[in-house]
Amino acid sequence: MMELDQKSTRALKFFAPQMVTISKSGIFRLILLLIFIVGGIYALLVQIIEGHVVTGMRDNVVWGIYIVNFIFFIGISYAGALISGILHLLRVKWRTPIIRIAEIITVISTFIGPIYILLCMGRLDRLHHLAVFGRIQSPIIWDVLAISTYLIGSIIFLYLASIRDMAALRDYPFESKWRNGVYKFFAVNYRGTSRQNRYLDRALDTMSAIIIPLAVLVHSVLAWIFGMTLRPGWHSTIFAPYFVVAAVFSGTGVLIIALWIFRRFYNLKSYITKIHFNYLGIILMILGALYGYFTFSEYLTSWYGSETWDMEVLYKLFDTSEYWWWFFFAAFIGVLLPIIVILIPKFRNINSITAVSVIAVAALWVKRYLIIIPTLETPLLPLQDMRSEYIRYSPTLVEWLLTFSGVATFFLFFFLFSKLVPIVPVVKADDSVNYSQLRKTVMKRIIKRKIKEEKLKEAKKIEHL
Amino acid sequence: MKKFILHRLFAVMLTLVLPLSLLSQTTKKDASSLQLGYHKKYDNTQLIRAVISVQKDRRYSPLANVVLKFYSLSDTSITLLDKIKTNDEGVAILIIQDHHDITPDSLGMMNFEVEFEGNKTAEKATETLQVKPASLVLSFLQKDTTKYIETFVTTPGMGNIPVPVESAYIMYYIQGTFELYNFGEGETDENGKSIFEFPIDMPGDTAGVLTVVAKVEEHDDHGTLEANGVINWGKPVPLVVEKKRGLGDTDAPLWMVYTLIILLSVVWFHYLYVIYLIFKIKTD
Repeated sequence: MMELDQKSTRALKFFAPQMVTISKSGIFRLILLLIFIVGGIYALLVQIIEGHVVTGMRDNVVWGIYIVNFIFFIGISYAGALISGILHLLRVKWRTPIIRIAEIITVISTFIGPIYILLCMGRLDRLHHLAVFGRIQSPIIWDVLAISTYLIGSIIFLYLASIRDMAALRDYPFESKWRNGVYKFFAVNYRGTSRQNRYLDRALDTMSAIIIPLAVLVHSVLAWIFGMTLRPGWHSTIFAPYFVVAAVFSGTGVLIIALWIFRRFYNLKSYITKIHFNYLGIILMILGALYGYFTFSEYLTSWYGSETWDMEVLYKLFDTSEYWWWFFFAAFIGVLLPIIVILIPKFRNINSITAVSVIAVAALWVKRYLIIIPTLETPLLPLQDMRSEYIRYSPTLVEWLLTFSGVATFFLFFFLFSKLVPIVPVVKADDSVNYSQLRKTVMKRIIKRKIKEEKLKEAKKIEHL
Repeated sequence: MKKFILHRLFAVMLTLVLPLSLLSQTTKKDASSLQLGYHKKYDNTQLIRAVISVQKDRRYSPLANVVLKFYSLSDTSITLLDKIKTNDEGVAILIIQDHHDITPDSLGMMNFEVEFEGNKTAEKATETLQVKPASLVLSFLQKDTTKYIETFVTTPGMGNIPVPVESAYIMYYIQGTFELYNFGEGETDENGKSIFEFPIDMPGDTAGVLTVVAKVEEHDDHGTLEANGVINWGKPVPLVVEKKRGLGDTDAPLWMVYTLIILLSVVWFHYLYVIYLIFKIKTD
């Protein structure tokens, strides 16, 4: 049995009943998500039966919105990895209500993202060839290794951060036997002893420290798949940091949206307050500025260099009959609007921060589309007498259905997870205790060393005499 | 009535004439043409090269996959040497072998005839070739520091005594990996000889060895003759050792393998450490 303080007990009593019940509006939302998922399953069946011809991908434009979705989901997985990792290491006080949501975003999106790669691939019966014949020098293999390692790390991190809550839930009188069994198993006999706390904090610190560089590496590897290819608009040295910044930007945006949804539908106004939105909004604004700087630098360098094929891609992006309006939305609206709204205190409130987050996230999805499609539509060899659908790409209904079903699956997993673990940690790790303990240990060591030195000096004096 | 009969008559004529005219269009064959050449290679292999093409819309296009008959003609007989199918470029090559019965005529000339019997689309074609056997010999000379290539062209005369061939153009080449590189030309004198000064800066292999090829090309009487010789007169060129990056090879560059192993080991060591800590929490 674990002892809980008053605040944690109150939180547990608030969340535990929510986890075993579902409201009418909750059922409606669940049905809505399931409709999208069933639509996705239908589209998947069509694609399996008919083949990839039902997608908009052809010989020339071989990557479509499946890859866009893949990068998008891996990008938002950054929310958990970087934000929760950094906030944990810095012992930021206001992190508690948002950290669990951030970690769940990471795990779910890292799980869903790679599924789009499988959807994009033909001949899935040869998938095992990747392990059998995969070559270490291929960025695709790096990506497979990095993402699988990252997913495992994210699961461990989320689990570690949930152990205290699992222990509290283990001791809560749930009626369901399976639920008690699950909590008992995952609580790993945690009772909150000082030694267990020390082990757990050490494990959390370790994971926080390792997950940050790992997250950076994962998104860098993803960027290198493009950056190392000699294609206009891709072959760029700043692609890795550019992708990393874009990922954290979109991840923070999704985190704000998730906070808004849970705050509204789970009645968490006392836990998730305006302060969380303000702080995350400021982070979003800084990242937006950084992302804008990278975008400007990327296109300026490309434009100034005037390399023939790079210019072809640029002309497409700035041509109103091609991609200009998308580009305008992704590079201007999606960057400037969040900065302006958050920068001016008068505009800054929970709803406006969430609204600009939605715009930023949408803009970043479009940006990934603009990275992939116009480049593939600009082959390095001139194409003549080709059917337009072989040169131009447009997503088909099958692709859209699978895209929306992916988003629905993301929210469904979130919903299911919120029924297993409180969406806001109920048992708070007391960081101050750790610091005082650490201080005491250090002081003890210093005193011990000084005593030793004194003794040695005295012994030397006696020898001298 | 008269008008009706006229209309009927016109319709009957049209039905008769139109298919006939279409038939005549389909049965019209294209004119085919044959070109022959004789080639004696450096290893004394002799071959007859025949190229067949058809003239269509004022353009010549090769006639592929048709059979050409190669004959040898003498003063008294015609002998079928072989039947050879043309390739996609309309080329058929007969390699003259010992069992082929080729008898020179009274003037010492070899006479060949190549025949295409025609098919549904192309007309029949026949072409003859008259060749006087000749030989080209290549040798290397050095006077002081100057190096020369000497070529000698002869043709069998009365009693098979070699007779020099005068005014034959000789082309000189270096054999490259994929093709011949021309570096000079000359002409035989009244003794059938041509001497060409070898350039001092010709790049060879790592030991300076190179293969020199001399050719008499499409001579009116003797066809194409070829001779070659290997000599170490070239400038030694060290082998360009290609820097291997390992990216396109089966094996990855070692630095990449080590980096990957180190990175994965560091991460997985931390994971294992954390799992160990979870185990400690459980057993505490």
